[in-house]
Amino acid sequence: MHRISFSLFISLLFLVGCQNNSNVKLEEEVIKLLQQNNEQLNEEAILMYHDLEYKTRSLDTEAKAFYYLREVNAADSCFKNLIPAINEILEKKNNELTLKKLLNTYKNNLFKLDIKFKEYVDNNFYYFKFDSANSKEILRKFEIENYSSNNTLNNELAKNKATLMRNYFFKWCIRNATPGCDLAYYSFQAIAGQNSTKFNINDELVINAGIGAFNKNIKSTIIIDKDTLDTNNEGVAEYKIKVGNKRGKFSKKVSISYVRPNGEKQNIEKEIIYTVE
Amino acid sequence: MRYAITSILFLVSLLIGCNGKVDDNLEQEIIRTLEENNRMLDETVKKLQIDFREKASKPEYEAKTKIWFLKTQKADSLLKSFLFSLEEKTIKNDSITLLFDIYENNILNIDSLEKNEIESFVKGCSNSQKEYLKSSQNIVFALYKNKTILLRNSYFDYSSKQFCFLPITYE
Repeated sequence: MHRISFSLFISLLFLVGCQNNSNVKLEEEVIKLLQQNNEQLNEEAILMYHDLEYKTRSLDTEAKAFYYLREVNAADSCFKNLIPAINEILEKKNNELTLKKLLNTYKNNLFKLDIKFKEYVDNNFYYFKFDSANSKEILRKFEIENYSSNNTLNNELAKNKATLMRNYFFKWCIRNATPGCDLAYYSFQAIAGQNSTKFNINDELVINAGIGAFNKNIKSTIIIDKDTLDTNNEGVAEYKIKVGNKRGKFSKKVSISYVRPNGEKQNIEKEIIYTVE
Repeated sequence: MRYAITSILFLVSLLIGCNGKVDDNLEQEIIRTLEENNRMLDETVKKLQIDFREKASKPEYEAKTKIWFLKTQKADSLLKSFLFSLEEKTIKNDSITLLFDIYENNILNIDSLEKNEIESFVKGCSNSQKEYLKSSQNIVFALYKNKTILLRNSYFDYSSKQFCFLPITYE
């Protein structure tokens, strides 16, 4: 009887061992996957950062983008301070309360950076709008509600929450720095000009030709002889005037101002000289 | 004898208690966290797709971008069909690994010439441990859904790095 009981005991011990082993493997898998998510989210944060930096080079977005770039840098420095603190907890094997406190402080620091961010999260947090309109529900999503006995898993969960929060903040900043304005020149126009349409025998005909690239967002202004002209879709302005009944040599000043793709304002002056005979 | 019975009863209750599952609440926490990650990763892909689509529609970018736009679309449609199979929830846990391997190979085959380079992007997503498949179906599905989305995003990252996003400027 004792022998039966002993063998039953051993088999049950084995069964429990197997089940616990699957638990351990699952936890290891979750830890690995959370680390991969964090790596991917970090890559995407870099992408967002470059996007915002790019917006600082566009005239329409530069003021807002510079403002939000500072906020993004501040959020990133909060994040960078948090990670060593989480690692320290892992080493010291502190309890879940410390993690909870740390995450809450971090969240509040992000909210302090921009009061509007908190309002935004409270009112209509875009990323969860399909889940729930309840702000309390949304805020709970920033926290870890159920801790594991595995401290490494808790720490990876905390790091993942922190990374997600940082990325939410980045996305929010980018949304605020938009609408983006692309100043690249997409429209092309061949421009050809001649020095005159009427010539005497042996006169010289001069033709200037070139390609112009244009984008409506560059807000070009063309002033000819004090008249401000509108440009067409190709960025070309047309100026017509009767030369009058006086003979002689005359000139018209043409002033073209525009914004370069780096946001810098530029002005070009040309003089058109013509003769009435 | 009394000790043996007590030990057996204790172990049976322990076994029923554990049942090879992580704590239900923790399981919910993990599933919820993975879903949050999926949402965030989806948002980034949407933005990249808009960038690709915008540039692919412009004549001066068409040649460079169109091919990458089509490739990323293919990666996204592979993801959708894999997720559809997952959401059917009729497949057994051990069949998921097979389906996932097929999905991974399909992603790698989009660019057969650059396969080595893509493999370095996606190596982290591969099946490494099968033991956790003994866990509950809900958590296994959540893990695979996240793995799939990570793989798709890795491919998008790879694609975006093949093409410079900065516009051509005329100075």
